[in-house]
Amino acid sequence: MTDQLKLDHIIEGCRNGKANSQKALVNQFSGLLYSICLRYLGDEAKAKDCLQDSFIRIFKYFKNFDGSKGSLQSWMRKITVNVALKTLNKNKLDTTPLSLDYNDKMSVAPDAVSKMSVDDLMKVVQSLPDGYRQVFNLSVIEGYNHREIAEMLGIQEVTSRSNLSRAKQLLRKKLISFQNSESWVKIN
Amino acid sequence: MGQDQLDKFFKQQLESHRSSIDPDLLWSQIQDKTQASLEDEIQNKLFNHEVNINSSSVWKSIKGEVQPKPLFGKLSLGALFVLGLIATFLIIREDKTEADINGHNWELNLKSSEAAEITSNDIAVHSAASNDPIIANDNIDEEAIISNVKDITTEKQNRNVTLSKLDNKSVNQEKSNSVTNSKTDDRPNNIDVSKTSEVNKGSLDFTVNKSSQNSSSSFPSNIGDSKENTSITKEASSKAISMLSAIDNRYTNSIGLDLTTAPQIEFPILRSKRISIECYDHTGRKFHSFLVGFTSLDYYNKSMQLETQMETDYLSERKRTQNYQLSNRSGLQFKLLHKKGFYVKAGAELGLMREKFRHETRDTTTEILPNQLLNIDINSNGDTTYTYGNAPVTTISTLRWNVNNKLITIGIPVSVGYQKQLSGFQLAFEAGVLYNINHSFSGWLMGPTNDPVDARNYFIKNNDLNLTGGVNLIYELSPRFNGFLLASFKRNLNSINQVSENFVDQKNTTFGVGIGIEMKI
Repeated sequence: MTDQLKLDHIIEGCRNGKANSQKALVNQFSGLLYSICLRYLGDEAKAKDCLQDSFIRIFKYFKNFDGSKGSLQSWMRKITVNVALKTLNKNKLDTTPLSLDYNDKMSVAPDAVSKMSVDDLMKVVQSLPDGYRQVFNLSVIEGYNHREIAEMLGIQEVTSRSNLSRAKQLLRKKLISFQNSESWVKIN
Repeated sequence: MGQDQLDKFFKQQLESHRSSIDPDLLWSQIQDKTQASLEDEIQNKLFNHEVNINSSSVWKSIKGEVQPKPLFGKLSLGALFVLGLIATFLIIREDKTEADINGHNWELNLKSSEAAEITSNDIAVHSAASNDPIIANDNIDEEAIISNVKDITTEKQNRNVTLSKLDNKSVNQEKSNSVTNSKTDDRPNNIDVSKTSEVNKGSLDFTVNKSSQNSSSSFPSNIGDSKENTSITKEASSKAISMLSAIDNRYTNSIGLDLTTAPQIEFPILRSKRISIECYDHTGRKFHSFLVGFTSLDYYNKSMQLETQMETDYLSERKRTQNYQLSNRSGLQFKLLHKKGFYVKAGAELGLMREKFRHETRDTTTEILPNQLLNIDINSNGDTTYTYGNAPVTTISTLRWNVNNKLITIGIPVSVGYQKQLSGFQLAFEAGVLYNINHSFSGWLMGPTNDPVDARNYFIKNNDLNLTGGVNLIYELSPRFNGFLLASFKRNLNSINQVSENFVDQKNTTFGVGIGIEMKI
């Protein structure tokens, strides 16, 4: 059975509430969705809770999934992102102002990111403050524009822009420090 | 100006030319581009990044939320819960009644002129001299022994009457009562009517002693510990009166005791600290009501027939792909039992029929694909030549179906029956009808085009009449509860298939064995 056929079978099963199909879906997508949860929440325990809530929502609303409008994966991503945002909104967002000791002249080596392992990159992203990380994930990884982000987070567009800008600056700073750290040396 | 001169001119002019570009802006743009490529890189790496996680534990943690408990299980639990609530309520009520009685140190001094209500199921009367039963009847007509009112008068002569009754439950359980007459002359002067029981709920022991010197009789209690004598209460009197259930005209007459002319008995103090004299099994009632709960494991036999004889292959495919699995039923019913053993039952029943749908779909496709290895040629020098080209490639794919089908039915059973007391248990036969108000099927079946189809609409949704019948073996667990084993059958009287959807006319016959409990209400 091809992957697509298998996925179609899983989708049909999930639509009918079959436990086997739901389990197969969890097996197939838990790694991806957990990664999203980790990126947004930055904490393993919260990410696991978020993952569970996401799957519960996914199965609850599975009948609403319309394959003609998009892939299952992107639909599940959206739900997971929403759940993660909801989780974050329960707590006060950490939007610590960026300290200005950052040297703007310093730059990240062009191939720095490509040489980094994904896990290290995840750690760097996770280390961003909540507010910046949210906007960064939504904008850079998921590809939402500032208007959409503002709607999703209930903030103003200008706040979204400034948070993204600061997130990028902070990320660069972290990348540079990471680049200079021992771990970076080990990687290279 | 020649070309050479022109070139020289351009070189001189442009070599040292400086555009008026803003270096800061340029730097900013370079930075932006660098940043953009950085972002792309991050997005590429993180967008589809997967983190290792134990998906089994994730599934376990969400399974309870995602997979609803089966309706059958929910309703069974609901039925048990309702039964539990009712039982708790009744037990609490019974305890309260007992507590009320226990709370009184009740006493009795009963005058012989007071009415005595006598209630008993079974009484055996023995002659003390011969020890032979004068009356030994396990099935005395209830009406004959209920509420007999006696005016007991005593004469001043030696007479010793001992009435003993331990518990109302003994009426059913021991069925051994005796009236013992010790005669010094041809008239009975010693009567012993006793009932014994092992039930610890409470008991009374009455002894009436009458002598020519003393016209009073004593009724010591063998259960109440206190020997204090206190005043009489009417309430207590009425309860004590109901304890004098063993005396009936027939018995006294049969042993030659004429109670109408018997000496007047003055009942002395009667007291009991702990007593439960409430007789559950009131023999005066023509009908008894029960709440009945049962569950059974079922085997069902399908009778599948074609509407037309054109699709015999389809029918055989249906039969081949569907396999029986253990099914079950549960129900909650109300039972009205007449004292002569006839009863009517009605209530609700939930049935779950399970089967496995197994099928394999094999798909073979042939297509011509380029760059297929056609030939390998190894010459005498050991050189190998591979030949590639277009070639037909056949792909065989197999899709296996292994689906648990469920048919849930909700029905209203109405049945009549007859139960007969045998030694130690009761045997009940019943028959009736069951009207299914809902069918709910989930699963897959072989469709008319020999492809598996989601068959949720294949079955009718309601309006299904069944014939039912069964045999129950009832055993008394306690005065309030009976347990029973059941063997039953159920047969569809009309097709449960939507024949418009497929060609099969299906009727099921279900056989089940199970257990149940009856609670007197």
